[in-house]
Amino acid sequence: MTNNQKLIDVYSRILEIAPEAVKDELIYNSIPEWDSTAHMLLVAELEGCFDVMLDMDDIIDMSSVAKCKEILAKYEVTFEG
Amino acid sequence: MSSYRLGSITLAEIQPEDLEQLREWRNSPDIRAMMCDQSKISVEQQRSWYESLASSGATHFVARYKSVPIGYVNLKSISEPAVYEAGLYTGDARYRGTVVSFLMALAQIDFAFEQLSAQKLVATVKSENIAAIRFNETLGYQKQREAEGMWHMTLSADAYQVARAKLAGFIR
Repeated sequence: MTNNQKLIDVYSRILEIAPEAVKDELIYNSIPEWDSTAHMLLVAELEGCFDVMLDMDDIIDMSSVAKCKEILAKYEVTFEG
Repeated sequence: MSSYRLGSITLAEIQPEDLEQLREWRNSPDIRAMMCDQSKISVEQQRSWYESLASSGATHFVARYKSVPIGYVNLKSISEPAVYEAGLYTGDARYRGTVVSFLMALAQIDFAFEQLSAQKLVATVKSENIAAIRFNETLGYQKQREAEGMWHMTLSADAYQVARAKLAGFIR
């Protein structure tokens, strides 16, 4: 499984949305499923999945799927394509 | 105790220099909208409130994230022994609804159970404030009754420990 697939899987499972809905443009709080509580669960799952511990400011900045990839890249998690 | 720390959050005793920032937050439309009393607070009212704090029997803190003020926390003793009413708001909109707000609440609740020897906390949330209700439920609060557009919620030490264990990984 690629990192991109892993990321989509985490978002899809935690937010309980279809994998197809996990796009770079998906923004925090733009859908009811991605609220502050879900965001914490999401971060916890992403940290476990990619074996990283994010800085608090990075967690706060994780405002979209695209931003999430950008932040994870700082922790040497790269996304193809 | 003048301050209490949990990770990057510090709950600090309110100082005169914090008053204007607290008043500004309290008067902002989005904070006022969630309050029972939605009137604006004047400078004089704020000063009177501050002067009454020492004798209020309640605990009031300004919450700081990495030393920067971001919100307000209080714990008020109610008539029932060892039961406190918990209130808080994240004044700085950048941190509202983020993990920092959860940390602020964890610091508040830890303080209540550890330092005040609380046995139970109560909170009242507007029924329309779904995000705050879910926020509280994540912390272990349970809905008790709904009256006059408000949900009355309670938090036991046991329920909090279960909830806290799931959130503890974010204390940093």
